[in-house]
Amino acid sequence: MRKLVILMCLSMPAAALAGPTPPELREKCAAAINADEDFKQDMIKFANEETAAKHARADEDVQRNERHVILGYAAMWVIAAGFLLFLWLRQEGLNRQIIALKRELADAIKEGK
Amino acid sequence: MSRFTVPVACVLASAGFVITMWMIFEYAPLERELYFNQKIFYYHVAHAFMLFVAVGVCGVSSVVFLKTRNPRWDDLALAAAEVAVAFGAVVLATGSIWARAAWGTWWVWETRLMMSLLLWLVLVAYVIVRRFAGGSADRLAAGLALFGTVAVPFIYMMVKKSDHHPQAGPSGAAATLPPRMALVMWLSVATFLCWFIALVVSRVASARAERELRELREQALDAGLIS
Repeated sequence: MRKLVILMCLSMPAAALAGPTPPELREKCAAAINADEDFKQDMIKFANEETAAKHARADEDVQRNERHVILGYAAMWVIAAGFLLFLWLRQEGLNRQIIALKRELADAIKEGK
Repeated sequence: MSRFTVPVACVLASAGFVITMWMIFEYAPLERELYFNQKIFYYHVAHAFMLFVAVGVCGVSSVVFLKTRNPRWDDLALAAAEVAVAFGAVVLATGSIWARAAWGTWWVWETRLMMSLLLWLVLVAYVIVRRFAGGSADRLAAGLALFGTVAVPFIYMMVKKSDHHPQAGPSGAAATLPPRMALVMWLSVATFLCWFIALVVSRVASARAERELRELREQALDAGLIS
């Protein structure tokens, strides 16, 4: 019996401190907002404006980043094209050398060396 | 090497370019922190991988050349070095553009980036030596290639020293990618591997032809056939 009395004494302040739960508070808040039509419309307008501003900022980010991505891929293709040009020029030089050597050998054969 | 190697590698690489470009912009999701500029990542990392492969091929070929003095290995080392210069230039250029987008600066003087730049400069030095150093250029350049190859593991493993650059290694950025991003990245790596093979094999053939032509000319000169 004494234990029960002590337990009740301890639990009473705890019960007194416990307020409404978060879902209850949310319901109260929603009811308060919906009760005032002007306030409700203001809240909706504010939320819409905030969302629109977020989208605009994200769009700006994408636009800015797009330039860098295009620049990055352009740099890759330009360097690749430059390297292919270098290979092609080397091959052309080699072909010219082969033709020159063939001509020199043909001339040597004609002269009967 | 089969005569079909270059055409097949070129066809695979071309198909890979088309598919990966579509996947990068249409299939891979947007990264939440880096946002759209993360799209540079797929080709930037693929080029970095191929740079390491090219430097590895160049280094190993140089070692074998120094040991055997077989000029075929020297041709392979030269081809790999030239391709590595091109891939390295792409890595540095795209990295710099990405840095500008992500960090607001073109370059950060941090260890990994510095090492990458140094590696690229060593490769450029290799190509310059091969072009202008005369008769003993092949052995001199082989030494340089070894010096460059030693830098690769340092760059890759320099995980904790890097303040800005995304981390590599088993717990790095590439290893923790979402599945769709990882698929696009590895497809890009495969594409550039095909491209690398096509470039190196064709350049080896060209270097070999140049060397044989040079030797033929010398023989013709010695025989007094040409002047």
